[in-house]
Formats: sequence, C-alpha cells, structure tokens
Amino acid sequence: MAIFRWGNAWQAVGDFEQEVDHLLASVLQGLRVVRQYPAVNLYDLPDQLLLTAELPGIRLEELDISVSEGSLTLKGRHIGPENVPDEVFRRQERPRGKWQRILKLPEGIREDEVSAQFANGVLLIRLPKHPPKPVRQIAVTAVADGVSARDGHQEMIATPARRIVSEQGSAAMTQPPLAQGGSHAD
Amino acid sequence: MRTDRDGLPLEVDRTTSHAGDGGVLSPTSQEQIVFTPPIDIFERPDGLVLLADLPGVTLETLELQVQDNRLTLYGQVQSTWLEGVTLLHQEYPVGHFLRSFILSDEVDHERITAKLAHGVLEVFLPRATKAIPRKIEVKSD
Repeated sequence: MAIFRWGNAWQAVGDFEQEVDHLLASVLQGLRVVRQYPAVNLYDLPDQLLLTAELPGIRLEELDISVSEGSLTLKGRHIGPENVPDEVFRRQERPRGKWQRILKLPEGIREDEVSAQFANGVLLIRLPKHPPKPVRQIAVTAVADGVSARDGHQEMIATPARRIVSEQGSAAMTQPPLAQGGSHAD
Repeated sequence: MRTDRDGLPLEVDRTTSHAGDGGVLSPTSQEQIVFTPPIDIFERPDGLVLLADLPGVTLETLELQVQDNRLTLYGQVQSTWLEGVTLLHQEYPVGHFLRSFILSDEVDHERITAKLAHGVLEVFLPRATKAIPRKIEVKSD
C-alpha cells in the first residue's frame, strides 16, 4: 500500500518512495506490536541456559547486566557515531537511545555464577544450572545363601524362635507335673 | 547523475532492500533466512559514511563488493553451535544479512574502505575529486 508518494516518475525517487513506505510500515508495525528491546533467545544445554541478544555496536561501558533474586536486568544505551550532528544524517535506521529489560529467570539457576560475553555484536549470557539434588544410592550386598540363613535379619527371627523353643521347654517343664499328675492319678 | 531527493550519491537498491518482498537472493542453506540490515548514512566533507548492523558477522563471513556501480554487502552468521541445542524461547530469528546500494559517479569506487567492529560494518565512500578540465590548446596554422 502506498503511504507516501512524491508524484514523480523519476527512477531514483521511485526507489526512495518504496523505502519510505517500508519505513512507515515498520513504524506502524512497531506501534501495533509493542516489542521489548532487546529481543532475546533462550537456549537449553544440559548444564546451563544460554540467553542471546543482538546489540551491534554497543559500547561495553554503556551496557549494564545485573542479576538479583531471580531476575536478570539488562540495561544499556545505543549512542550514535561521535561528533556527528543529526543534520548530516541522510538515513537513520539503526536503533538509538536508552533501553532496559528485566527477565525472570527460571528456577534452579546459580545466580552467583552467571557470566556474560560480547562478541561480534552478540551478547551471550550463561546461566549455569544447579546440579540436580544427588540421589543417594543404597548398595545391595550380595551374600551366599548359607550365610544369610544365620546372619543379619535371621537374628531377629531367631529370638522369638528361641522363645518358642523355651516355651516348648517350659511346656516340657510342665510335662513332669502332668506326668506327675498322671502318676498321681495312678 | 542519479541522486535521490537529498542529493545523495547513493541509492538503496530496491531488489535487495526489502526483506519482506521475497526478492532476496536465495541463501546457500535452505533454512537460513536473509535479512535487510538497518543502516545509517551520514555525510562528511570528504565523502559518505555508511554504517550497517550485522550482529554475528565476522571478517571471515563478510563479503563486500563493488561491481559496476553496485555495492553489495553480504554477511553470513555462523549458527552451527545451535545444532543439537534446544531452543526454549525465540524472539529474533537468526539469519544472514544482505543489502545493496547503487553508487553514483560522485563516489570514488576505487578508494572505498571498510571496517567491521562489534557487529557494525562501517564503509567509507570517498567523494570523487572533480576532474580538472584539461585545456586543449588550439593552434592556428
């Protein structure tokens, strides 16, 4: 859709018109969809998460990254080329100005070990994960069958078994009176 | 000479300046997308400076060429490290960058210089020194 027209068939201007349409369209789009800056991608690795953002040309002294209580804050400022007054710009599409973005970190991130690097205009933030809580393994010892009969838990069963034996013993003790009684009955 | 409204001896080439048009060159890899990088152009007394945002592009993956009167920049972004990595959340797609410009005679094509730092390409387009008119002596017989 033509938004802007110079009303001139001159080829060079024709190109320019298209470009203006394109710029206007992108501005309108920007108004419709509120996009957070900078855009970030998040990748998952076994031991860490990687957060990336494209910040071409940002000076490190204009970049501030902090982490606290589960949130990661990115703050910065894009400044244009130094000592270049606005009026000499013929085209200005690159982003300018201050921005800030706060991201909520997922659970299990080691906040004290978060690190960042900047290479070729791409910011990469490493978010190391807490290792999963160690699972305590319980060792099972294999022992010979014959030994197991006398060893360990056998002890527990052996005690009441002995008691049974002793009861039997006491029963046996009562035998004599019965026998005596028997003899008594005789 | 073709210049735009500002008298700029540089035109943004229509064939490659609109990412949404689908008129971009097909990249080598089927899955890689090609974007039009945002640019700034400003004037200096001795010429023009063009700045282009090319995050992720390195000297090894950048091609800058002038053919006839067309200046083309093509920056590739290495994304091999993404293979086997799970993408949890995506707000920007990763792709290559392509944009071209038509240079006028006002730019000295031979003396164009460029540098790349922190993902920003800076191209200097020096103003061509005006040809000094050569006087031709006319002799009489």
